[in-house]
Amino acid sequence: MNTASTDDAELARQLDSLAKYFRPLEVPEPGELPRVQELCDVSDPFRADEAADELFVAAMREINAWHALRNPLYGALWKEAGAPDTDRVGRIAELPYIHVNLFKRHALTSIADDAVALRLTSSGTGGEKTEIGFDAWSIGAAQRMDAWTMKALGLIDVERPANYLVLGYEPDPRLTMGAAHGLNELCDFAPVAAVRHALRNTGDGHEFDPMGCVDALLEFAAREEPVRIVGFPALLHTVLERMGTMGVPPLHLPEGSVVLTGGGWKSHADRAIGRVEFREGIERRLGIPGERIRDCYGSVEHCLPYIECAAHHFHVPVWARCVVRDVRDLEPVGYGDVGYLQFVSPFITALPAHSVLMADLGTLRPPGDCGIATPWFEVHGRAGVRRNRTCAVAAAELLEVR
Amino acid sequence: MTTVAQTTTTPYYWQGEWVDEEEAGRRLGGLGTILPALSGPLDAERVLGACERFAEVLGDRQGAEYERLFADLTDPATTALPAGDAESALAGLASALDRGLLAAQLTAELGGTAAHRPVPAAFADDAAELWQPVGTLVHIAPRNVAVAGVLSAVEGLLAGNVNVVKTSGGESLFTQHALAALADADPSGQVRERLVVLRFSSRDTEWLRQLCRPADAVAVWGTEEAVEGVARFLPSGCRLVDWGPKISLAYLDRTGERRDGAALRALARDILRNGQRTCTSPQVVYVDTDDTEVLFTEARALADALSAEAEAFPELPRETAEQAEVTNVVTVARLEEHLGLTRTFSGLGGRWHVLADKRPGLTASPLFGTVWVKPLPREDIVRVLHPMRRYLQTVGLHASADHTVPLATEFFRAGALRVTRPGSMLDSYPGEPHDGQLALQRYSRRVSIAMAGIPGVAGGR
Repeated sequence: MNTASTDDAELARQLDSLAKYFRPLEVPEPGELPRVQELCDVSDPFRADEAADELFVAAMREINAWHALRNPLYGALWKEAGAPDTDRVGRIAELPYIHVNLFKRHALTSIADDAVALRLTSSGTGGEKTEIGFDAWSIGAAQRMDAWTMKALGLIDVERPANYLVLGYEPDPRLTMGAAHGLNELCDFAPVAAVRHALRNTGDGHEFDPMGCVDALLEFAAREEPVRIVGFPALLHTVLERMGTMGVPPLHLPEGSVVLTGGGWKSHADRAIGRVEFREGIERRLGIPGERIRDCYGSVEHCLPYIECAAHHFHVPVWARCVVRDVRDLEPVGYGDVGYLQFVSPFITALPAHSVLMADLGTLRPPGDCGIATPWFEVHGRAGVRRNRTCAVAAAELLEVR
Repeated sequence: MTTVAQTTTTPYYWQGEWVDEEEAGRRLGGLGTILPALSGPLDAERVLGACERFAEVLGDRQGAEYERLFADLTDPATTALPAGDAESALAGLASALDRGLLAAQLTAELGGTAAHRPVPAAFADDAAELWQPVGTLVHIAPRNVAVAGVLSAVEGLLAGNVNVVKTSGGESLFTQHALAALADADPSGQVRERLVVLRFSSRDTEWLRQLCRPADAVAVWGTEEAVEGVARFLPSGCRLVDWGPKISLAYLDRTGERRDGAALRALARDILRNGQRTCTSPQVVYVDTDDTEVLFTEARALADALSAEAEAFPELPRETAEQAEVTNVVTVARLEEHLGLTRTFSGLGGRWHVLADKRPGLTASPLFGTVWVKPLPREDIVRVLHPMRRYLQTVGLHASADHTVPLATEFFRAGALRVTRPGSMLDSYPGEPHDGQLALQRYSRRVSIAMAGIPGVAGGR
């Protein structure tokens, strides 16, 4: 059932797990951030019009002032950049930005300790770890945007329970990793019939259990409920390879099944395969059509979720803008050119990540023929993970042993 | 000579023959039978002669062989080196195959070019010792250094071994063609009998297992993952020779004279040479101080030296991912200036970057002319660097003459393997140990005969 037009309160009534997403939210200082409140209350993620642009710009000015005042590093950066006043959407690129890796090394915050409602660990590919404290607003706004995006993309199903294969960690009360936290939320968008985890909790850690995943898929294929496969793509890739090696015949998972991957390939970067090839493998082995296989992109620091549309575009929602910057001189490039992805969004009050330069390379594209009116981006993967062509230790490698 | 068309369907080089995948797979199980079937030991002179003739072939840039090897290295679908890199790789290979250089290495490591002749044992009257090949030597060639597989096999041949080289699944047939040409340069055929080159992905664990089963030693070039990936297939008693990635640094001691800037200019040249991409290129410059102002002043002086030297060096092409890594690191370092941790200096257009950082811990550079400058009082050398000992290689040491040996000893205690002057960090001398090891000895066994009165043994006539 497509729930895109159903009222939020009605959805929450039908499916308990959705209630937490649609609760009323208020910015921490309503007098200082009225337009931030207004923008983040816009429930159509793909609204694109002049009024939305104006609202976005006004909200950005508020949040920029918020962080410039509360975070000394960002304040200094903004002044150094000439204190730009971004009075129209075309000037958004003039705002200074903070590289995502800086958040992994230093605890940068714009809120008082007692305002922290949730602490998440930001982990770098190189093993650095920093705890990031979120206030109730920042995390709540991100969750609500997530739910609204899932809803608009037709990925919420409140009626039919699903069998979940979670390609992630089996819960452990001690777990605070950001990625794992997000994973469990992926079970919220359809009622749960059964759940199996790929990374089993052994009591003192986790163990990848590909055979258990194959068994789960065989079992789920024989049932009526749709299957929801959610989590790290690298684990799914390994499970599919195992099915091939074992000679398991292709499965036809029930209609309505869906794959939602996220979290990238992490340390499996060397083994990453093309997205198209990956989807073809899923279609062939599990019988889930390509348009029901969606990847998600995001990070703990910039926790606004980007979820692929049926045409596999990561659309930039009404609450954010995306700038792509040249890998050498960091100047903005236009549509179609490869560069660093920079995300700008006023929703976050907890830390100065309202303008963040990701370590990932991507390309921005104009709105396409998929019917969604906002621009979208492609992700090409993490900059620098490729091994250097030398006999010298490359930075990315050395970090792994620290 | 085989044609390119032939080798696309039969890319596996097996003792002079080109075979297809099916045939190679069939022969793989019999790898261990190659050595016992050979008629006798390999004379190192044959190898030296073949290297000499092959180096001549490499010197003829109009020749068909040069063109083919160049085409392999630049093949856009596989190895994809830029033309300039391919030329310098071939020139580097030719100079590494210099007969005099190889003979010096044999002398330094195995006592001469006839290492298989018994020589009197040092502390026994009636005994003799000699070097023998370890036997079947498997080389796991790296993906990142095109000529490493060839040079590794040459060292294996100099020690007299049967050499089986595995190249990466995504590589061109450069290693195969180069070693075939080397074999062709030995009219006796002894070199040819001792060469097998197989290209397959390390993910093919069944081939990897069969490759390692008959091995007496396995030389692995490349990342830690590569070493771990192979180590689990080694039969017990098989020798693992690990040529892992390394990092080099420079040290500016308080006793080093640098008022005229000559030392920093020399160091700048070491940073710029070869795009900073060799394991001997300095990635961090340590300054013997704990004063941040001194550190930042020294960093500025190094930036001036780089600025003065940069034009003399060609700027190597960078892939997007390589450039992105440089920008990532420099961007974060610039942001950390606001936290009082760093000071950065950059050349025009990002030609070079000096990143001064108060934190002493060893950090790898993203290369391409990017260097860290960090504080390290000499009392802290061992404490700070020892955790990274497995990676440390060359130290470019700038100190007064009477402090050189004590400081070098500190760096050796911390794990470093070579100490040189700034300006010659990338140079080497004939017979120099590589990464703290003597390769030819690692590829050999030292055997002895303890019997009085036998001709050829000490005491015998």
